[in-house]
Amino acid sequence: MNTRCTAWEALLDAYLGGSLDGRDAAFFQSHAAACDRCRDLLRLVSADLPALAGEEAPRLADSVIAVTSGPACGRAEALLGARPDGNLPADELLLLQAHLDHCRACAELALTLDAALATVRELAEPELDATFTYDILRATSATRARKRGGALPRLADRLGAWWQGQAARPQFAWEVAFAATVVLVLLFGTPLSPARRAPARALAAVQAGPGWMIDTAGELTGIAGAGIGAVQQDVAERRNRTAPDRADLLRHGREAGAALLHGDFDTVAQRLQAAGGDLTQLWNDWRDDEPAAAGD
Amino acid sequence: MDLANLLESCRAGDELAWEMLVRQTQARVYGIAMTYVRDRDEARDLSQDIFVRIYRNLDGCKDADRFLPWLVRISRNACIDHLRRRKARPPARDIPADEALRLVAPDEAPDEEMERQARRRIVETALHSLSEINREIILLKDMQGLALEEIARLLNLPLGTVKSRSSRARLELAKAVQGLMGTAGAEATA
Repeated sequence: MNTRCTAWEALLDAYLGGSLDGRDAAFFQSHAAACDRCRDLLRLVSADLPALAGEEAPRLADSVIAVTSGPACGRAEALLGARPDGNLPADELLLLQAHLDHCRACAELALTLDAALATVRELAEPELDATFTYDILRATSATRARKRGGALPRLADRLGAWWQGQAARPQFAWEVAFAATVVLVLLFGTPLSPARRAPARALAAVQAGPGWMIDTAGELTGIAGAGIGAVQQDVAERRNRTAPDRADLLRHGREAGAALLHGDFDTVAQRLQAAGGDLTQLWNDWRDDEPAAAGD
Repeated sequence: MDLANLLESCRAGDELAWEMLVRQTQARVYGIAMTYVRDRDEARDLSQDIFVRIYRNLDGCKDADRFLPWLVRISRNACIDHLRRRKARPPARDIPADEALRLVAPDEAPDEEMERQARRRIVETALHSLSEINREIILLKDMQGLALEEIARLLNLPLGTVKSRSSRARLELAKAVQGLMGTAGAEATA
């Protein structure tokens, strides 16, 4: 290989590309005719290129990729997953498409993904039969009636929904059991518990037999009956005692309302003050304390 | 009538407006319910519950542009509540998933309809083989068409996580479908 061969090789690309001018072309051909090495090289590159492009190129590309960067399927999959959003840059789309043109596995995955997403969109709004709407409207009409009924039914609805939600939670049973245990301990298990003697009495009842149980039940019923009677009597006495106070309070309230309607705010203030005094008096009478100074 | 006016009329108690809103959104709500419970009758009952919730809370959706995310959020919450309740008290009979896919047949040739049903069945099964979070992201993004920001807010996840998960979930779905189609093909050959 001499300097002429080097100069000849420098012209090889231009010759293959068909851009060699007359003088260089003459040199190129005369040297190729004279030099065996350069002639062989020219034959090799001229004759084998089309075959390589047609059959060997993909295999060559695979081999090159295998020993350099490794398969690009992972990156292609990442782009495939993001492609339905429509935000991929044009360059990346081009690269992805070029990969899909040559990678059968990724091309199949892309087709499956597109078909699956189309079906997913179909599933978003399935076709329904005619009674579906009717059933929904029937279910909501009850709610509508309650909604129109006022605040109390709505509150009841909300409470009901809240309770259903609570009861639906998996830990609800545990929470109820815990709360029940706490209540039982507070009722029976501490030195200050109101029913601390109940377990001992229950044990005694079991040990003593049915006669004792009947006596105890009678005793308890008697105590409960007497207690309820006493409470009823006490409430009646207190109601009688506070009847004038309640009448005053009502009267002052009405007067304040009437004054408010007539725009007489001085009277409103006076009557409200008097009503405040009535309330104090009512409370003291209910508690049976010495009456405090009550204004009218 | 545009959606803003429709919502306003519904809030004012117009029964016809409410009926129209139900007709416009019932398929979507039913679709969400089906994705969660996979049973036709259960999804139907659940859809009624969802609409009762929507009706009660109509005042909570002031902006018509935000109606779809609001509807999806209410539906999703109702489905999750329902599943919790079902977990606490499981039904006496577990209904096979296949029954869930017997939807109303439109006017199509029987072969086409069967093919469509088979395709749906495979995608449904593949969808339920995904993890819960991936399934929800596909439901919200590809089924309901919510924006990624909305999904991030709904699932209480960072936006980047939702983006990457969305992409991975789709691929997972496609691979699951491929796996099921391979299985179905093998069964058919056998």
